[in-house]
Amino acid sequence: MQGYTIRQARALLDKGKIGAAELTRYYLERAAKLSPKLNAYITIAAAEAEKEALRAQAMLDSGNQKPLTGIPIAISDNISTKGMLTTCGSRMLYNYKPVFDATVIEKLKEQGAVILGKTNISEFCLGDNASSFFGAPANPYNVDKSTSSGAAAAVCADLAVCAISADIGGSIVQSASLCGVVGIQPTYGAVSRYGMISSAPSLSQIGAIAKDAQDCVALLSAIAGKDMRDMTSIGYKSDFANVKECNLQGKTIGIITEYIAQASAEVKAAIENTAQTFKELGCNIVQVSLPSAKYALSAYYIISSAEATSSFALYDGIRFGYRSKEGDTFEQNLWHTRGEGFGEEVKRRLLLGVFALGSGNYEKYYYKAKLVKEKLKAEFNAIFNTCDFLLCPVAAEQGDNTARSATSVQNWQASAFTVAQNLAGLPCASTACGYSKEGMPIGAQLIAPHFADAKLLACATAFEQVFASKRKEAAV
Amino acid sequence: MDKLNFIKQLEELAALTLEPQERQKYADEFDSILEFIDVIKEADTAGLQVQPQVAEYKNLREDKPQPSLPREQLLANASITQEDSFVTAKVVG
Amino acid sequence: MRYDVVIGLEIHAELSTKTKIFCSCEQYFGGEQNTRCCAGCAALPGALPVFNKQAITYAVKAGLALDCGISLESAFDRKNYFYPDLPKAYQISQFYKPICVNGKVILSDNTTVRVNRIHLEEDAGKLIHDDYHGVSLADYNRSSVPLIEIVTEPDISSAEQAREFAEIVANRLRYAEVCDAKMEEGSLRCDVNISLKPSGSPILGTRAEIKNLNSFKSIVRAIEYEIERQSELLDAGKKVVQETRRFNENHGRTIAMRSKEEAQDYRYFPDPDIPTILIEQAEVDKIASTMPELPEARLARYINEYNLPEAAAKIIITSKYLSDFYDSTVAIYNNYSEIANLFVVELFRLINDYQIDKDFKFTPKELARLAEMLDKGTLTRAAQKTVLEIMYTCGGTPDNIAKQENLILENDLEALEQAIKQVLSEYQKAVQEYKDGSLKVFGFLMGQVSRIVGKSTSPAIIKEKLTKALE
Repeated sequence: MQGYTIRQARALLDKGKIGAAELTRYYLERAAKLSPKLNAYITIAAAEAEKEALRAQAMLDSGNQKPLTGIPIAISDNISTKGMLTTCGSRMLYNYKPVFDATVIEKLKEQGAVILGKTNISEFCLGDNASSFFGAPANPYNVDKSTSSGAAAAVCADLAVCAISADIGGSIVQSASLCGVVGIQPTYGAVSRYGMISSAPSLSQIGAIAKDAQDCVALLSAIAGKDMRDMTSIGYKSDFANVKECNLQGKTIGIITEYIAQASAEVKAAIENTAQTFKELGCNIVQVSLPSAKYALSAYYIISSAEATSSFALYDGIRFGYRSKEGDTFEQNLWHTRGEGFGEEVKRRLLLGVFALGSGNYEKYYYKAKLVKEKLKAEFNAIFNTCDFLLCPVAAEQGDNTARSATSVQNWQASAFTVAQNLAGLPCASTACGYSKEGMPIGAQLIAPHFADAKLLACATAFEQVFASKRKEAAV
Repeated sequence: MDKLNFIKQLEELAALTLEPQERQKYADEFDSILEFIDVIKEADTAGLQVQPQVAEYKNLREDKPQPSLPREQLLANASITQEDSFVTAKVVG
Repeated sequence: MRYDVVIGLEIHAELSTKTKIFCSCEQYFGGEQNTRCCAGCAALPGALPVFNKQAITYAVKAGLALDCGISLESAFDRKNYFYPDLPKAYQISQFYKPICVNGKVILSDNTTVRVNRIHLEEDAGKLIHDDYHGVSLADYNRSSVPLIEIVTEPDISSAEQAREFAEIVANRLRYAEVCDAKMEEGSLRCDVNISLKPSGSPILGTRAEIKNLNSFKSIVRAIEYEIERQSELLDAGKKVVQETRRFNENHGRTIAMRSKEEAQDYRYFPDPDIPTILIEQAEVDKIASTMPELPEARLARYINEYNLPEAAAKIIITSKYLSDFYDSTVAIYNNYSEIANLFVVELFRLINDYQIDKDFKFTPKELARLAEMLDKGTLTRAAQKTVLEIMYTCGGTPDNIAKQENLILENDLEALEQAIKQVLSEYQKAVQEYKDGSLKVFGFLMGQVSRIVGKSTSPAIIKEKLTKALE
């Protein structure tokens, strides 16, 4: 992987081989130079970053550094950063500067991490179909292809050491896979959502994107933890310290047959090679079934759209954000603001959402989808009785995330292998496991039971160490 | 019923105004979206119950005041303010 | 045509917690606009609700005060609609699983009014209409203040019953110390649902909802107007429209609001940011044990144990402060009826005149002493009244005040004995008349004794000694 990992940067900083200001400047310059081509960053916060680097150096000088002191990090643009533009990739928030930091940002600042800026995302992180108002970020492996996450592009092209990103239906794992980096979406509730701007509270998580699984460990250790400001946050002790022990001997890895069946030949082959590697590491490989997988997409789009209608209702132009000049009454101005401020996919979800929650439909759609959520959870729990981890593709084909297909619904299919995990609240990670004919990365998705985030990353680390020799870096 | 009117009704519920060509686009695709989500009806969920997350009374937040946002910060992102308040056009009815 | 009146009430009460229901902003009446807000209650992106434990404690107390069952599992739902005083464009409420269910209040005419539910919800902000500029200004200080909504079954059948119910609820909430229940200040709001049906018919009529009632009197006036309005419509063969109507104070009429609200589909769904709240029966019992004795229980105690007349007891329980004060006073000196008398006759006159009904300048101990002084003959009743007024307006102990005002009766028993001896020997004819059964002549003899001893002796003592001497 090009550029520094957190561990490498940490070693250099601690030994005084490189100063915090120097390291930060290095990344700011790279970002300024290469981000325009990749459209990875929406905001590069040079002045603030340089200030934070000075603070970090002071911590280093007094021997008070923490694991992330002085590490330059990118933050996806749907996480609130005080005084710094936070757009969610939407016209609706084109000029919005939060007056508070998200909990994860407070934690990073407390460690003396350096925030380089805010990365591009699909509008409100809605993924497929939801183009960013600021244009799609490009994939460093092939700038003609896009990825929905500027954070993944930034980490891949070394425009940041690592990134904190948000996920609703698998965007961390999907974008990490597209860019050949590691992404983890933790157990639901592991990381406080306070300050995260999201459409679907019951499905959203904040996770990490980094150059390897060990770096993800460092990030998760820093940001996870119970937060009184988020009633859904769950404190649990994930044993991050022992992640280095990656002994997979005797572990069982289940391959989800329903997902494999839908994958392209190329992707299937990459996953099979991955399974083989795990076998050589001492694992038992078994086939497992997730019978309700076929309902996952439907349940996901119903729940996320329904919650979006409510979570997006506060966008009315009155207290912040875009405000239409049209409309003489409250209602008229409201409708125009929302019609003009939101992009196509957001509006599509809102229309679907009010439909799914409407009288007569609540039981049929929304409540039914919640029951399917329970069913998927139960099916996963059953599988985890016999498996330690699950392995499957991230996507059916290695593609790019631009809305290239004919219909919205076809584009929605791209999340077929990830939404079930969001519904079940399970931790999952993506790590590169192969390349397509065109040289584009293919990611393997690993899934663990609730609260087994550290073990998940240990498993990914073990695989990475074997795959390292086969890695191909991006051209940028 | 007329698809365009159907979308118009949803617009009203979602509090947004679409351009005619947008409305047409959503009207044209709604059948495929319905088909997509109708898949859920086939799921056998008999005997299942929604298991919500729970919080215990004893662990809830204590009733202790914390400083509110300074007013300038609260109003900082509003495009229009008047007399230290947020401004909306008149409500009809 | 005679009609039965069918009324149900929805009463909103602001809970007197220190902070708002889903954030730690302080809540209190008044103050500069938009100074008690945060990202949560002003709905800035990324904020999350954090539920206030005290809100559920108070809601449980309100439920217990209205004889409700307490749900050990209650949950919050989003009620979605767009209005500028509702910054999130949804109100967090309890639709599916309210905290209290199935309560009741029994009115003085023995009608039972069932309480269907009490649920928690958050208040909206305030809009000030600037007609000159054609805009509304939003102040979110009140946004997210905790409310309970008390919903009755349609068991009420007259304006007076409605008023009584509302007054009972207000008093109980004040006693439970969860709400100061002042309609004029908006901490208690009452909506009325009213319909008529032909006398004896089992089929309910179409109801109208009346809002904007800001006093108990308005409740009565609005209902009376509605009964007339709906009767006239039905008599003329017309239909009553299901709609929301505002009560106009000045004209005493109800006026239809835009009926857009009727079609409202709030798209209720459980709030994904808030877990279901579990409370244990033991915790509910603990809350119950901290509740002050409620007014009706005190009334029963005053009547049955202290033998107070019902009218007097009712006056004492009109406020918790006064009732507590009474209880503290009789705990020190247990002449229940004398102290009740002091309350009902003298103290209430002072309260009416000076409009101060709490935080008295004197203590229960001092009031008890004042009652004792009368009983012991240290003061006349007239003097007692004077001393109480000074205690009420300026403070001070009854002994000091009485001394200062020269109101203390010396009650020189020797001098009294002398005087009685002198009178009995001087008016032997009168004494004989008394012994023959004339009671009237006692007054004459008392007058003579009083003339000699002067104002420094308690009439009660004179009477006692004279009576004894005549035996």
